[in-house]
Amino acid sequence: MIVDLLPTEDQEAFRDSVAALLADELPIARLHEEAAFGGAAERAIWGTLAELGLFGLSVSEARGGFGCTLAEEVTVAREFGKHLVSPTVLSTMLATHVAGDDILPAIMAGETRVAFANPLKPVDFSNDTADVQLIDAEGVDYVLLWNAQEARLYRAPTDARQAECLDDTVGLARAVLDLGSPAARREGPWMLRAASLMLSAALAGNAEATCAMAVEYGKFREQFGQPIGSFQSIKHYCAEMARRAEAAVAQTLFATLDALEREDGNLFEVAAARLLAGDAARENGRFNIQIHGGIGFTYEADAHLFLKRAWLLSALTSSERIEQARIIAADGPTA
Amino acid sequence: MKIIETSAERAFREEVREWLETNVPRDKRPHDGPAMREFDMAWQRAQYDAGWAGISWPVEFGGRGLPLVEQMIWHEEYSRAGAPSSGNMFVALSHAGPTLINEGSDEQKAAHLPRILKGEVTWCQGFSEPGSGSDLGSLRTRAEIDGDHLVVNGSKIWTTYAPGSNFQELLVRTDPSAGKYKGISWVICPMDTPGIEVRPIRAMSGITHFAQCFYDNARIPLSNVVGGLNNGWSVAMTTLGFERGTANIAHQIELSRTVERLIVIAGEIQAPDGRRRAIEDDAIAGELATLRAEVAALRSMTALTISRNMRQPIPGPEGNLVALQFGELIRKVMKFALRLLGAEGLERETRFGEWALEYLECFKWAIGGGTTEIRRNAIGERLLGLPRGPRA
Repeated sequence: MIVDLLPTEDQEAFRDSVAALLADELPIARLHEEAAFGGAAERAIWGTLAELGLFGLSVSEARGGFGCTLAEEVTVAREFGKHLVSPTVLSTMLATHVAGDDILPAIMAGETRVAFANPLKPVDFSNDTADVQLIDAEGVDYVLLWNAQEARLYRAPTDARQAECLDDTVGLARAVLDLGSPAARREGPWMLRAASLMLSAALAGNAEATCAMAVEYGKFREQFGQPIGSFQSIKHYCAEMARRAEAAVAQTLFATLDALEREDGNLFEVAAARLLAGDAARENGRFNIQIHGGIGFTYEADAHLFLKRAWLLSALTSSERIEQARIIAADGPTA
Repeated sequence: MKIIETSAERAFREEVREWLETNVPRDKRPHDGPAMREFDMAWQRAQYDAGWAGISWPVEFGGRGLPLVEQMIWHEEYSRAGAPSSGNMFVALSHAGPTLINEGSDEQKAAHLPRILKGEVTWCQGFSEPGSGSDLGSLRTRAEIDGDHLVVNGSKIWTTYAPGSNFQELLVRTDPSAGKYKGISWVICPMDTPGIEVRPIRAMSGITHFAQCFYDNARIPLSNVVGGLNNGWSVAMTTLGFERGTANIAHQIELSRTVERLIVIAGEIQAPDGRRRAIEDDAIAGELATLRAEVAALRSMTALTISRNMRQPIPGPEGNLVALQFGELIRKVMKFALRLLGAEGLERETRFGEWALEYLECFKWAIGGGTTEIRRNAIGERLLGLPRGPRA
């Protein structure tokens, strides 16, 4: 399969318009104010996000969408990762892959939001209930839950119990989800692929952002009379950060095209993307803190925000062991 | 970001696959010596005769003049068919040829490109010196102009496949008074020039594929300078760049096959506890999975690099990311292989005997063509824009 992994002109234009909006409306600095936590900043501009077309990107034109694909969604998810955008933007985009005509128009119009339901055990839809964490679910209408066989939307539970999250800029609530009456269903493994790839893209963007932060600091911060980025110890850390980010981006983009080419093909490429993107975001997050030194360890710096988000996104329906098991059970790489 | 293989290109792929299936040499490639060189040249000749040599090289010099996509398809199918590595033809096909295409005069192209594609000549690389490794720009092999000749004195080292080579891409200092990187020239050196001596060097694996070359008043025609006198540094950097493009596809597919072989082996041999197959040990399976993912990423990184190169004629510093990933990964894979095989991996004559050799050979990938440390410098400075470190 010969691919071009750089954006097409259309993809680039759309990505740039999203990036410009994020730079204006969702700067990282917002996450130093509690008022923006839990996806509040995103809620405040939800109408603008809908107007951009985010929630109809891969919806067919016949259903009122843009008729694009997961490729375009992944392209913007990478930008969301760089800006630590609320996971609920991703889950709402993914919900458009599941929603029926009763729910979809409201999602596309920006009137309905959908949060991730993160299961604490492997999901079995034949059970009565599932223990889940709801992520940035304040005021959402539905939650999205999936396994390798099926994806479902459920009405958001009303009796969720707030809990404190490792990533304190994100809202986390525990709930027991009644699996009996889904609001929408889609059979097949598509959501596992699509969600894994959207989360991989956000993690890859997170890894790119921390690499860029570390590099900027390396150019600016002076010790022993010269910028610390001129020292090989720092420079080589940065080079490794760039390599990890590049691996995560490249594998995520390749796996996306592979998933689109063979909808029910093997899971290998997707799981490889998820494994490496998670690793890249967490490792780069750690080195970004290290390169920032004492500042990097403080609450007022940005560095910790990226590391915490990396752990959160890595742990959404996934873990290193889960992805490794998928990788070794699969047929192997796409040629 | 899209799939760019058209139906015409799929047809090309089919054609390539079919030809390779029936024509890849079935004889085992000799391990070393003149027999190995002749094997490599004969295989190149067979590809030329069937019209498969120089897929992207200009038609007027014997190539096919096809776009990059066809070249990538060729590399992919070539490696998948288990075709032998280009070996003694590597420098000619992947370094010297592309450099001459970009920087050579019409006479130089006409004299050398067709002979390379026909497998009539092999080339070697004369860049590193005993005192100039990572700091290549400090090279001291001199070339003084005497009439219409250069008179070369000095020594080159780590010259792979030097014995038997017809030509060498040779970096010499032609203006000692100019700045470090300014007085260097890139010269086509005929290896049968009187005054050149080649002394083989044995590697840690026991294999003797490289050598040290000595030049004692070796007279090379001035017309053999490529890309202009004292412009050799920029010509050489271009040459190194080509190593980071499509030529990587073959190595990456080879490494992928290696990991797939390890997964098969782990399914056959016992875990260290002797109670189950190795692949059923979670720690072993986990490590194998990570290696499998990292090799897939290497393939995707190569695709991303080539995507960039489709928009820029000369490869940029991003190629170092691929080289870094490869150099580190192959060592991880080979180390894992020896740990997996345990005691059996120690014996060179058993069914797993090849792994010890491959392990010992893999160290070269993090050293040759630029150490991983030099690659990290290049990524830091040329790609990320970090301030330069000390330079003499």
